[in-house]
Amino acid sequence: VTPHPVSPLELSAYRDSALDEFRQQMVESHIAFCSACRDRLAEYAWLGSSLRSTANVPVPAAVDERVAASFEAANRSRARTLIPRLWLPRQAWAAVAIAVLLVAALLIGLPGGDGSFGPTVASAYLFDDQGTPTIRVQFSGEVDRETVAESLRIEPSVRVDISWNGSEMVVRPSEPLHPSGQYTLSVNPASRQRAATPVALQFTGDRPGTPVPLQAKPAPSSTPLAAAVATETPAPTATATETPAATATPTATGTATVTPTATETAMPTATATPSPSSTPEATPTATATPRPAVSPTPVEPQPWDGFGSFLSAVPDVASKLGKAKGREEATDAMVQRFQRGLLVWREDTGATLLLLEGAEWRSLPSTGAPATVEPGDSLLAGSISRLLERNPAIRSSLGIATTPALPARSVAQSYQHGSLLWISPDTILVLYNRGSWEQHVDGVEQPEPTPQVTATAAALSTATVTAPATATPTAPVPADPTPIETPSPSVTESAHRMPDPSTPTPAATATQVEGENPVATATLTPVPTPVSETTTGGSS
Amino acid sequence: MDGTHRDDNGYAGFEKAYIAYRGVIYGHVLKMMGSEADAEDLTVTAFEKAMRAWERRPPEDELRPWLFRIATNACLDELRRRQRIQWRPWDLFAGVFHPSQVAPDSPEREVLRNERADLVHEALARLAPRDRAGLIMRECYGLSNEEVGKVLNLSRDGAKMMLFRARERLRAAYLQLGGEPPADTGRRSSRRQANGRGAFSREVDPAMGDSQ
Repeated sequence: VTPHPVSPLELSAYRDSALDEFRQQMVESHIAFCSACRDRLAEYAWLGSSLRSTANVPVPAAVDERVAASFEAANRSRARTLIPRLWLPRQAWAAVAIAVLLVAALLIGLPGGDGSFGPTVASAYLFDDQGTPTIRVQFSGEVDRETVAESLRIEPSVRVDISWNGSEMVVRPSEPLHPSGQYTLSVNPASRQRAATPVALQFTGDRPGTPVPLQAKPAPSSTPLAAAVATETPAPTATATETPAATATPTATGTATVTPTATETAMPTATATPSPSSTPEATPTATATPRPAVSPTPVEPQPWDGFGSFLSAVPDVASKLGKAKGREEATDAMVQRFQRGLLVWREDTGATLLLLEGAEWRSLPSTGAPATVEPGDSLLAGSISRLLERNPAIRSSLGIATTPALPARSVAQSYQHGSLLWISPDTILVLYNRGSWEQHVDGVEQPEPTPQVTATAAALSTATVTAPATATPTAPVPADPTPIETPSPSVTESAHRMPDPSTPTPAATATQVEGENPVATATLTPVPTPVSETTTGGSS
Repeated sequence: MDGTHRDDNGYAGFEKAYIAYRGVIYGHVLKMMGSEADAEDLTVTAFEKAMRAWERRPPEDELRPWLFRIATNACLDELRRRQRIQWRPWDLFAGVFHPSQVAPDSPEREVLRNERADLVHEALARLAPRDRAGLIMRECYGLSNEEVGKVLNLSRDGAKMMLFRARERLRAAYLQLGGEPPADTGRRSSRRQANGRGAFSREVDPAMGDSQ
């Protein structure tokens, strides 16, 4: 046996970043050419990610109740205080049946051109903490907690508890929020004010942990929703009061399930709406039938059938990419979305992809060990953060983080002129070697169905909550951050999910979209190709 | 007794801590014990112990390992009491992730369908409890080596070694159960990564320029 410069013990420690810097680098350079060590490391990583995949389990209500009871008993001997309703978060929230919660965070100050990273807001998003929606605001540096807490405003007013986790402020409502309420949260991290950057987040009660950005562009006047959020007046979105039942906010489309009532009334409108008017080519016939002939297999997001069907639907991309050079390779990933871009971290390589709208994609090397990124963390940490701090222009173009780092599966395949990267549930990134990149939406399981049918199905599925589309919440949002010419990128996204066959009346849900929002309806149908064209990123 | 922690009712902050950590502690205990009933009991027990010791709690930034320590010890005590080291087959997660509890596209659900991941959990259940605890805390909940060491009363090097052995044992148990490393991780991708022709070969030097 030849002596090996790196012991398995060191590999394990390397994974934990537990080596001193010298050995850490030593291992890093060693695994570059030692396939045995690399494989072992990859196995550690895979075993770890397999364990981690079940790390987040819902806490049974019984646990809350029992601990609360003990707590109460212990307190009784002292002062009879406390026992806030927070103790039973699950039930409390369930009781209000939160459908859609809109939070607009008016956040002050992104790092300016001067490169200074004073205390600014790095990210803000809704986070589902075991059933309780919490708002997490991460600052880029040290802030005076009291000042910040005092500057916090929530409209309409809601009692909240504020806690801190390092430079992250956790705002937890201590009273039930109105199910259809729109809340505006603003905070001022520093005394010097910069232009406020509104960020809206959409959060669906039945989809814990997956807040969806509802990004409003700085000049969101065109989009009724964004405007509504910004002004805090529900005026443009009058939908709230008028729509039957719970579908208060226009965005409620995503969660339409909550309101079974709407179904019946909805029907007529729904049928009328979809294609004929807006896009004559799209589906004249298919619309008529409530349930198109597509065998709408409720597709779980998995590209295991390969990128082939995707490429066959977008021949221009296929021709630009050229021939496949390798097989598809899967790994776990973490994805974090920002106002104008996203970061994708891959477990196998440890590299982080920086995808900035209108710029070339970059792969940021991981300095040091493959970090363990936990759901909820920000990918803007450690070496990545330092890297971007030296490039304030990039950091500020990225904008505020609108989601935490969310776990995802990822599949990559390289081609002659670029590579494809699928990210669960339905994002396909096209990365050209020249540097440009595009973002597409996966979801056409079989290439067979004619475009038209798919389009209809899409329209339906957008409306239905049950559709497996993660993207659904985004769908009705008129304000899309991407400056794209595509009719309505955001709608398209969800559109390509297959509708759930079990959904009783897809039409019903559709109505809700349309009822108040003819614009939205229009956008629903015109899906140019079976596979969407939601494009982002640099010109290719 | 650190008087500074005390306030009128003596439990200031406990509620917050509970809300912040109930999820991870329950998840940890569930993985340790392999049964939901045990997990419920021991999570409650752990938090009751924490409540009783609340006035002696460490500063905020050490609260998490402290709670993990209490919970882990509760599990280890219970397992020792039962002298149950070998486990029944790990059928737990089919029950835990009832479809109604998991969003249709969540990673959990995806993994559920992945038999190999199930095998990993079965392999985990075969590890010695302390190994299991260490791996869970490190891999699932991101405790540092040092924190893992604190929980399990190990030195820094001891924790390093423990985690290494636990990984190797997990790997061995997994292979023994007939599992094989996923074809899609490991070999090919890392090789591609190494020769610079993979999807992520466009590495940028740390002093990357501004492309704007």
